[in-house]
Amino acid sequence: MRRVVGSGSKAAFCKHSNLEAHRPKNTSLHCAPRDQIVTAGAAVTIAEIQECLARCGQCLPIRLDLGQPLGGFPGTVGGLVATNMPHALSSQYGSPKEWVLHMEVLFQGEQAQSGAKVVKSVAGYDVHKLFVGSWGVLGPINTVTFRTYPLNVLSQGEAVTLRDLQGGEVWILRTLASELDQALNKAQGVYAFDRPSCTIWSEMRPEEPSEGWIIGPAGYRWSNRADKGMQIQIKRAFDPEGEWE
Amino acid sequence: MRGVLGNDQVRDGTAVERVYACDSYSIERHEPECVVFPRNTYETQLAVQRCIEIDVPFTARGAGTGLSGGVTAVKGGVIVSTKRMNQILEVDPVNRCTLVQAGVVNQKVNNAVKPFGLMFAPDPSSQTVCTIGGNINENSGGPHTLKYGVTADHVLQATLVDSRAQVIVAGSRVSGGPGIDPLSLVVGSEGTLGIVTEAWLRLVPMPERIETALIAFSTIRSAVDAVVEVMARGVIPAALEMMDKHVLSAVEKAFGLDYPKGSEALLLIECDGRSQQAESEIRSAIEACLDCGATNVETAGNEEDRKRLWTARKKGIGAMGRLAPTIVTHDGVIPRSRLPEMLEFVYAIAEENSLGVANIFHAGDGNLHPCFYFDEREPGTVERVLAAGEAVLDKCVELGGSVTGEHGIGLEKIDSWSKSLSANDLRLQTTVREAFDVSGLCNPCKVIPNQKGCVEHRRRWSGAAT
Repeated sequence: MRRVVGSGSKAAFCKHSNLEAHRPKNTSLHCAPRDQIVTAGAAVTIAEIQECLARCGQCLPIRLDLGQPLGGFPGTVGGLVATNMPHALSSQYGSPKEWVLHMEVLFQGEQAQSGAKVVKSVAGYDVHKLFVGSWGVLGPINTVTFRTYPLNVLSQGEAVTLRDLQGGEVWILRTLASELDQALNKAQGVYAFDRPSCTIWSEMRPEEPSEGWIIGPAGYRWSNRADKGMQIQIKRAFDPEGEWE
Repeated sequence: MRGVLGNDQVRDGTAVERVYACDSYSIERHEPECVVFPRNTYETQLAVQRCIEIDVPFTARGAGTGLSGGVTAVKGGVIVSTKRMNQILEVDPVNRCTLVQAGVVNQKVNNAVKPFGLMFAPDPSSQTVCTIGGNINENSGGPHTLKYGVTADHVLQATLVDSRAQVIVAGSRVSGGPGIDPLSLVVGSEGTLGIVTEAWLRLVPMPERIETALIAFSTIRSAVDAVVEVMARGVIPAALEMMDKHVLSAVEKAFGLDYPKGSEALLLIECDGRSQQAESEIRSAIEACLDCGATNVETAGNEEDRKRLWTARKKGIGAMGRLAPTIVTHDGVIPRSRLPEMLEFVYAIAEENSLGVANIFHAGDGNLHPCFYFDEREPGTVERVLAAGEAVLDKCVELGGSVTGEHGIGLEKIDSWSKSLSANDLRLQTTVREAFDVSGLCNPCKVIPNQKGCVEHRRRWSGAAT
């Protein structure tokens, strides 16, 4: 078994492992501002992609100025897509899954592509989107094409930062709007919260919501997620040998 | 089927077979053996169970507005109509979502949530009749997807009956976040992975203000340049649509409307959001158009004006009935910057094949809809239409785009799409199909040829058509 490893920016959310590390090396970066897309290798950093896009008045809707939690613990493009972390602009611009248009992935030892490098396409199954948020268990990502946004979106967002991370643990909770106040009252050591996307970042493990998810030092956990069977079916179909953890 | 669902929920006979032989892609027809009308997930499960027992294919169908033959029963069998699954089960304004059955009409969802100041954003042109089940399966778009995104961005959870007659649920009311997301596969699967029976939809607040402008250009080139320029100025309009002079002449004839003389193309631009934002965005967009040589700008002062400005776009395709007896609407996507080149190609290919062509499309998304108009009674015309359509799709791929932005692969585009895939890309796609369509009975021969018989079937049809 192997594990995909990027820059390690989200290592605090992964179980310790002695598995062989697979480190994506693709650092290609191509901005096409007139087409509102950017194509980047998995090893390109979020800072690099933002800098390249900013020169043409565009960006990915990730705020790097609000600290690690609200920036989604930015590391590389591969990590951004593989973890689909919440961030300060989630409620307005969605999660990385909504920006991904095309991907090249390693599928059973071969490079394969899904999606199209245009802002809209419904050709075939959106297989690439299965890799978004998969935390690497279906195999590594080689390149990603995103849709881009005007640079001015980076001044938006209503997320509130209460205190800085100072080496403590980080837990992330997202729940339904109807349960947010209760969750906020019970949360301890809150670093930040974003009311519109119903997300709380805290130092202590939050209480499990009736519907929603928690990300913490040992990975992630959904409450009452009904599609576990389908997830297992997908993992088996895409990684029958159990090569990727 | 009658034993399982009761007489009232099963229809057969010549009239039914004819009505259900195709969707809005009417070039290819296949008659089903019967049509069933389950009222809920359980009855759908019973119907699918029966199909498996007797080894008969089944195909889900909503309103039949699809444009790529996605609900045509290629191998006969049973059509499972969702038309009686037409209940809105819950509206949850606090969590901004609603639970609906698959056969609910898109517009009815919007009517039901409007009192809460909310809307279901995907707005395909057929929204007054098309169903949510169809929208999910086709990952439908519409004029406002430029800003709001396609159906995939607005479905939270779907319940489906899979090809083994099991009820499965994909997704969650809490969106985003970690884990493999099976819902990504279900949305846009064209009914090949199961029959969607219910879904939780995401609702968004209705915009505070909508600003609409209709802008005329004396050349196609300047209109297309303006599309790119508007977006380059940091504006993402809610809608950015283009109509050429052929559409305008049809609309003028049909509705007695006047458009500025000498206009080769019109852009319809809509900006929405908070008042100040909508106003400043439409101002920037209009300035961009004027800098690109716009000859006339008309803005909407009220809702009535707005509706009038939208007439050409909303009713353009219908009005084309004035130009010729038959219309075939194509669907392809190209990178926006290649629009000028692509449009020149479309006009040239129409001329080469002696066909009329009108363009009415989502310019902001680079999503073209060339409409070829012709008289199919003239010998050889259908062949020329097919040849022109294929050339247009090949050009989309050549320019780095996609063979479909909204209409789906269905039956229509299996060949043109698979041409653009490598062996590995195709294997990625078939892995999905094989993992979920275990019985092979679920809407066979769509998206990818999944059975031996499909290839034979394609040969037969291609032979007949060309």
